[in-house]
Amino acid sequence: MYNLWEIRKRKGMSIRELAARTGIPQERLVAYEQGRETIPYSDLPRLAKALYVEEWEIKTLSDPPPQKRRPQRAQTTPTRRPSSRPGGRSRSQRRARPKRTPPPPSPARETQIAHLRQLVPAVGMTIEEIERSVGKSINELNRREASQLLFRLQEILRQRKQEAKEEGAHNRRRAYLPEGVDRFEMDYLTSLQQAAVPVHFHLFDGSEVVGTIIGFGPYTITLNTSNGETTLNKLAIAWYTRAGGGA
Amino acid sequence: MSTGDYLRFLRALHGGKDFFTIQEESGVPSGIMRQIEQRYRHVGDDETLRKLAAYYNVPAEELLWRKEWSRARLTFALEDAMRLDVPIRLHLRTGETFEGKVRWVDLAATCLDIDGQEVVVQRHWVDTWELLNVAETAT
Repeated sequence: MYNLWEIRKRKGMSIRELAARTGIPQERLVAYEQGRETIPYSDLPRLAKALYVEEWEIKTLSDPPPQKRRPQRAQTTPTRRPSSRPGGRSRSQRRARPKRTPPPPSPARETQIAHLRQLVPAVGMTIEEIERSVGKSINELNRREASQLLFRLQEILRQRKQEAKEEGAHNRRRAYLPEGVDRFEMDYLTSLQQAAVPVHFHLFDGSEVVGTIIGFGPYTITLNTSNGETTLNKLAIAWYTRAGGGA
Repeated sequence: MSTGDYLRFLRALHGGKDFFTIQEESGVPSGIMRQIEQRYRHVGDDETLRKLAAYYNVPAEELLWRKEWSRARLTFALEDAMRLDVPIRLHLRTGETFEGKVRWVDLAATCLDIDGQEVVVQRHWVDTWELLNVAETAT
């Protein structure tokens, strides 16, 4: 868990910007960051969303940020500043501030519990298994625990989805589109050519040509007929079959 | 024979002119002829088909009724015949009729098993078709 000011600085965001994103007044954000106020659970989701972090990553009571050192003034003689000023508190005295104990975490929200009940079967587990793993009933979880558990389950789901995607990429089946397939006739003509059997070609004008196939392309078929080689345009062929019948 | 196949046939009969020449001579919109001939689904409005019919000197109805018998629909019918394992009857433009179970179907042709004999029918000559015994299979 991190202090609010740490996360904000890590994200390169100003107090004003964070206030604009969350709708929380700047003064209150300053109070949260300096540890003067505990971040209420009503503000936590907004802050987490604005900072792109999980709720449980934000400390509800921040440690105050380290004091900025004042730029050293140009001094003619490098003298050490007195450790204490008359009438003032020493640095150690100022820092020695009693730490506040964070309030006990609130119970998990109903929506968190509902989300958990949805996610648990999705990862192939039962509620009882989850309860055994966390050591208590999911209804007894507090918000932070519920948030962490949700995060864990979502990670598992994300990982499985990624694995399924990678597996699918290797086993992808090509759609069967007969309109885009032209291998059946090609295979059939190849088998007829290899068998060197005479084939009856019936043309659109009723004429017939009989011969053995010696070659073919997408638009033509060349035959060896009794009159020599003949090339038929496939557009002119109505149908054909093996001479003498039979499959 | 779909509208596209029939137009391809007519174009071949008229000397195999290219699309651009026919478009210029017939006044049909640019690019539509190639689409009608090559697409599997019906393309083109009645007006375009009438212009083309006039250009090729054939009755307009000869082109118009084929809109309902596109290549895509023939594919569906052949696929259904294979899936349901029922015979199909194909009526060819040559006047012949074939009836048998579909062995295979591809881009250009289909193979029918007619009483144990394989007959390869070129799809572009199929005018109309009907599935047989579908009701019996469904029951």
